[in-house]
Amino acid sequence: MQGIEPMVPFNILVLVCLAYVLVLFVVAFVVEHPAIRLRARWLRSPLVYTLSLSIYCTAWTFFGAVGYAARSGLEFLTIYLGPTLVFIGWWWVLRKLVRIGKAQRVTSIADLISSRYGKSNLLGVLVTVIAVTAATPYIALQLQSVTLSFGVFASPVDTFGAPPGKEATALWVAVGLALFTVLFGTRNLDANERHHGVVTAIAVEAVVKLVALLGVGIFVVWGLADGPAEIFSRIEASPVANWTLDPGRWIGLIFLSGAAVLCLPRMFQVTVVENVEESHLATASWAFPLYLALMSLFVVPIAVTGLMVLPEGANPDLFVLTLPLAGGQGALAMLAFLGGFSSATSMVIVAAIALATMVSNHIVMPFWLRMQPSRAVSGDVRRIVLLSRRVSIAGIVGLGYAYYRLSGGSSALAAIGLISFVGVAQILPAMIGGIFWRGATRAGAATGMILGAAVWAYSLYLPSFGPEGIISDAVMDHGPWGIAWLRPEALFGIEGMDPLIHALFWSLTLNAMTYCLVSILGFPSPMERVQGAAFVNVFEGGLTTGGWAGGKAEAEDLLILSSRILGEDEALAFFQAEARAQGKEGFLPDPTPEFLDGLELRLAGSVGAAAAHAMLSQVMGGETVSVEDLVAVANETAQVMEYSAKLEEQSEELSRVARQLREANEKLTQLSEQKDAFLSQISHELRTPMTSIRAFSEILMAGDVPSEQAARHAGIIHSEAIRLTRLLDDLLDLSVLENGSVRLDLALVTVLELLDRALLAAGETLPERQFAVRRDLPSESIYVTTDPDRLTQVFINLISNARKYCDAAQPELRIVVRQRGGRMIADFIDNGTGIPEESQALIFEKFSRLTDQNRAGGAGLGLAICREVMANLGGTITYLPGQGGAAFRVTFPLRLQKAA
Amino acid sequence: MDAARLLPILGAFLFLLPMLWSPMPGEQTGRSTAADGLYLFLAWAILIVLAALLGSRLVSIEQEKRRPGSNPETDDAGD
Amino acid sequence: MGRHVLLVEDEPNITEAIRFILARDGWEVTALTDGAAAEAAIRSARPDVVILDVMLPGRSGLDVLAALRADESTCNLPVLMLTARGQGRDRAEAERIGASRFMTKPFSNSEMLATVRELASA
Repeated sequence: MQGIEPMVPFNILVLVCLAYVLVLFVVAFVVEHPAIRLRARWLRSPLVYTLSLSIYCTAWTFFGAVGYAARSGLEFLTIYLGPTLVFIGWWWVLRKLVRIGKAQRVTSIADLISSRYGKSNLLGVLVTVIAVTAATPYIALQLQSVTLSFGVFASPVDTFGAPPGKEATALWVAVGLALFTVLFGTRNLDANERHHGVVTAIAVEAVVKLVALLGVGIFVVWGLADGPAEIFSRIEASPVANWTLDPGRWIGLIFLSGAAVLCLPRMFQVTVVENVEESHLATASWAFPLYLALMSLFVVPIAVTGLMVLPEGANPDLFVLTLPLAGGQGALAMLAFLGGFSSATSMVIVAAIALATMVSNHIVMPFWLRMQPSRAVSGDVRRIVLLSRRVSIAGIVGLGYAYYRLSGGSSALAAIGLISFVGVAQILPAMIGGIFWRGATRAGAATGMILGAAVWAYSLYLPSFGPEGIISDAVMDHGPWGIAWLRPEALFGIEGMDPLIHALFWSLTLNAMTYCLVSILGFPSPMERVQGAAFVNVFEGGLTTGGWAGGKAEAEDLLILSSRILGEDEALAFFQAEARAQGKEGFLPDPTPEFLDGLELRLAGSVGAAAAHAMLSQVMGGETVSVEDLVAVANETAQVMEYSAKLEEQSEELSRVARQLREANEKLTQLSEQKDAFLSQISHELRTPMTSIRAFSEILMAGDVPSEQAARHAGIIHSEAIRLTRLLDDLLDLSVLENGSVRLDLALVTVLELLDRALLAAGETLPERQFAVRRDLPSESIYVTTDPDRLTQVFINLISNARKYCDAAQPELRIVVRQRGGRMIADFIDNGTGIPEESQALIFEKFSRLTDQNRAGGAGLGLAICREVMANLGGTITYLPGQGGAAFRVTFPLRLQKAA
Repeated sequence: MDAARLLPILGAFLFLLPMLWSPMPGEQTGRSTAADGLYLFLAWAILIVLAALLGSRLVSIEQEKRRPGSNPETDDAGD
Repeated sequence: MGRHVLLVEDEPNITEAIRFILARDGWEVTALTDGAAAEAAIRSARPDVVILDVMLPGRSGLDVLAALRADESTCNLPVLMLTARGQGRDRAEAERIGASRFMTKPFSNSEMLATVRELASA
């Protein structure tokens, strides 16, 4: 091709690539090995960090910078000057981002934005969509460059088999990269989303890139020319010198590249997420610009020499490869090839990891969690996360490949890269605003980004598909529907601007303006306010948390946190259930790993997995901002916004929590008092019959009592002994019933039968009393499945009570039985004075005998037992007011199922 | 620390300076591209050296502050 | 030395036992079951010893005792408190209010008799 002798057979080239990838894989694998990770401290050195940042220099830099210089002279430098300014200005923005990233355990740029604006998943999705859309052409670009470099290198006529066509090469490269990334990036699910192995491999690739480009540069300057002086004059003589500096593009591109180095998901990944120590930034602040400068140093000489030496029409994007080839330097050319390969692969790997994390955490996982039946979220979610990451990686690389096929690989490399930059720059206002301006709101960020992204897509992204693509020539020339001021490259009638700068200007201006305006007009939610304060004030004591040791405090903090996300009722219910599962009373379970896992899942359902994890880490992890800090910040914010309606809501919420706690406390006190009262009641009920028994037995033991009196005393002893036995029986019965450990013997019987038995048994109570019972036998002839003995016990109790306590002159009991749906209702209504209203609530309590006048045995446990029996039978017993006498309603199911 | 904040502003000034002496569009006489390039790389190098000097000093200041017993940092880039 | 005991106790069998024990020793026993009526009955009957159950229908024995102690005419009347609630709290409360003696049910007959005798002779 292009008149240069190809030197390497295709399959050898493939073998070289595979060997290189294998070396990288071994590096990554070894580094992630725990023993080595502990020993090799240099792995965490600022040097590795700085080198990993070099993924900023993709194949676009490696190959494209020369092409860019050949076309537009020194303008290519703007792409590296912007990041240089950002890094030497690290004290402003980067330091804050890294600190926030650590404090909030941010997993991606989407997570950062989502977390800042009240853990909004909407924003997470939005950022993810923008990032994926912008990254797709960029990945396509890498595929294209690798494919082109393959094409340059591989001999077209080959005894070992011809190289496949361009498309096939691109496909294989894509598949290979996807596989490689999956193997690298998702071997395990690191709790903090860091990938030491990948980062180290990337650092190795960075060295290869730099050495290769410097090698080619040195070869060009001292090999093909006689040193700097000659190059200097060659530059002056070459067409490259004819470029003119367009101030608009110069400023715009410096700004744009600076924005991109902050907003590109892969840059955010290596700069913030993979950052091990904040001080590494200080080194990177000069070392990374140095790397960029070295990468740019020989670009112009290579471009100039290429234009001079190589034949007319040679692709300047490939000079880095073709110059050494033309000079007969096979080894150098191979190094350059590997350099380009490194640039492309490292970019794709990190971009795919970063984007897959975003897609997985903000789109797939929330969706998956929502699909789950809410109570059944269980099992191995990590497996699902890994799977979703892997699928996302494949999907993202696949998208890149699809774009490559669609765009036909035609456009100049640099153009695609800049389009991508403008896309991710749409995140900039929300990001910078988010870390410096507490008043920024979710709504502002969302509308700003949507508008900016829309303008970007319309004026730059879609037109990049070419005239046959989505936007036709007619629309480009005359606007949609002939509306001239909507022409994609001349919005609002402003013509003559460079299309890129035009799109950058309008998208970012509209984005930032909307963002500010909507934020000012709206109110941040309490959550947004807490997060906003935590982000903006991240330096204020974030690292000096005292630590609140002790499980209880932590559980309480978790409860507060969860209440904010799940709502109080749900959070309290969840905590209570967990506490019960741990065998504890109350609302505060021990923060065991199981409990935390469960809680994280629960939270993830509301805010997404990443946010949930970050929030839990906040509470559990020592190094991060504590909840106390968050609460303190919230309080401070609260004072500022004292009169806002939202705040009242918040304080209402707080007082509601306080009230609930107070109530819980009262209930506990009450319970303990009740227990005391119960014990003293039991004592009384047991000692009373025992007193009579002891007194009369002592009298009888003295032996001087006349026999008929002795018989009477013995009778009293006997009846008191029976009373004592019955009391003990009742107590045992009650405790069995209350524990729910009662065994039910189910049988099919008619209600009629049961009532007959009950009436017979209850007849023994005050048998001398005249007592009328009115029944309706046909309505009672219904078969029910229940425990006959237990239900009869309840009926006996009710009938005996009526016999005992009905104070009418002609006592009468009405029993009304009927069926309602699957339930039976039985009412027992007498014609006495009934139970006074204030006592109606008490009668089912233990020892709640209302009057002691009519004591026919029993300790006031009867109705309490009835209530427990009915609960065991799946029914209820209630007092039925307003019936003209004492009235009780018993309901129970027609068919009682045996509990499993 | 103020120096650290001023550095990018100095950088922006140095990098934007070539706009002032750039020729009007269409004017072909122009300046020496090679000399412009040299200037930019020189400015770049100066910035890198300054950043390196500042960076190491800032780190030692930071570490001083983080030592137990000393007050947490009250300075904040967001002020 | 008087021989009149007034007993306030709601359990008929216990009343019968105490009445039997004391009557054999020559005491005259008047029995009441209701706490509400006890104070007035004690004031009018002027017994030598009062035996007062703590748990009474109508009015607690402790209340009755407090009322007796508040009145000059009955503040020195010997009162034996009885309780079946086996808790120290009742005893402490009774002693605070001014019970002369305190016994927990069930009691031994001889002890009951001895206590009544002692209270009457004091």
